[in-house]
Order: sequence, then structure tokens, then C-alpha cells
Amino acid sequence: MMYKYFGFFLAAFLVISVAICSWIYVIYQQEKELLTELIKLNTNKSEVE
Amino acid sequence: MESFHSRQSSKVTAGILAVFWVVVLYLVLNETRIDPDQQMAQKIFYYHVPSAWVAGLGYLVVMFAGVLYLTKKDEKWDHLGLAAAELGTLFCALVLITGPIWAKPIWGAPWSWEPRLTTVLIMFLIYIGYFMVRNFGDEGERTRRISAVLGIAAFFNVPIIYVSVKFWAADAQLHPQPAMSQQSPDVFWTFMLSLLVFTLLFVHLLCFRVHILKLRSKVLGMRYDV
Repeated sequence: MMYKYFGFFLAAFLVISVAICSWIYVIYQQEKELLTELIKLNTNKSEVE
Repeated sequence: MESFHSRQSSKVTAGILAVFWVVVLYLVLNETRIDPDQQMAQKIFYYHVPSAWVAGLGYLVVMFAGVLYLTKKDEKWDHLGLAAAELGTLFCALVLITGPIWAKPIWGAPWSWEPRLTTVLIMFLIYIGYFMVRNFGDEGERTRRISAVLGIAAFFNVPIIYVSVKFWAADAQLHPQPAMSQQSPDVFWTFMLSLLVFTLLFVHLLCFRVHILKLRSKVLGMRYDV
């Protein structure tokens, strides 16, 4: 049986889940970029030395 | 420096959180009672209130990190403060979105300028100001100091939000009053589990964000050296 206002609950649940997943995705991408840059900088540094 | 989720402890915590996220959803949908008036809209409460709790917790961490940064001048406290401010504001935004989703069918309008809603909105706007300081200021000590002071000052709004449902006159109130002790065990324990999952999620995401801020600081330092 489908209860009344199910759409409102679903909307709230999805907003929370999507927002948290998006936040994790954004900072995960940021971490990936930073790690790539760190490796590049380490390589450059050892070349200079 | 390694990736945050390459650590075994981070992987295990992320896995546990994902499982418990599903468990809470199952309990909310299948095990908790249906409110005869609000029906499914009432179940938004299992996500709305823990979001508000985590937002408050985030702002508490910002305040402590601000005090520690001002006294010790150590960059790690600034990282902690910034990470907690970001998470606090994310969850505060979720409170401001899920609240109106609940209010639309129950009050007939998504928003009312009543004390609880207004004080939460003020908190959110204060933190928009905090991020403006962080983004338009430089990377230096001055911006960090101003942010720390702002984080400490902003926290004084959290107790006001908490007491707002009692502090203002009854005829100005529209927000439901807290009454967890009167709830049935299914509602109470599902709510407690949801609160625990949100708190663990907050701690996990906070560690993740602090790790990235540390990494960013290292990269910026190395850019300068090279």
C-alpha cells in the first residue's frame, strides 16, 4: 500500500543522498588532482636536484 | 602522501556507513509506525533532525578549532575549522531544503518566518559570509585569523537556534516541539540509529576533508619551492 506524501519523503531522501554523494565526488576529484600534482612536483624536484 | 581511501580503516568505515545508510532506510520505511496525520511526510524527520544535529556539531568543531588556531597558530586547526565549516554548511543547507519539503504538505506552505526557521537561515547566511572571507581573502594568516574569529562568533547562534522553539512567544511558534521521550521504541531507536550514522558520516567526511586540505597545503608549499 502506498501511503500519502510518499513523494515528499522520497524527494527529501534523494536530496540528502545526492548532496552527500556529490560532495564526496567533488572532494574525491580534488584529491586525485592534488595527488597527481604532488607526484609531478616530486618528479620535478628530484630532476632539479 | 597516500589517498585517504587507500587506508584500510577508511575503507572499512566507508563500507560500514554505506551498509547502515541502507539499514536506516529499511527501518524508516518498514519498521517505524506511520503517523495518521502526516503519513510518509513525518518520516522526513529521521533525516532532517540528524542533519540539523550534524550541522550544529560542525559549527561546534569550527568554534573549538578557531579557539585552538588563535592560541596555537597551528595550520592544522585552521584545516579542521574549514573542513567542519564546509560540512556544517552542507548539512545546514540540507536542513533548509528538507524542512520545506516536509512543511509543504503539512503547513500548506514551504516556509514561515517563525523563530526556528529564521534562526537556522541566519546561521546559514553567517556561514556564507565565512566562505566569502575564505575565498576572497588571501591564503595567509590574516584570513585564517578572521575566519577563526568569525567561526567563534557564529557559534553563539547555535544555542539560540536550540532554544528558539521555547524562547519566543507561543503564538510565534510553528516548528514542532522536541518530544523524543514520548515516542514509541520503534521511532526512538530508529531515530537514534540515524543520529549515530549521521554523526559517524560527519566524522568520516571531516577526516577526508582535513586530509585533502593537508595535501593541498603540501602541494602549495612544494609549488613555491620548485
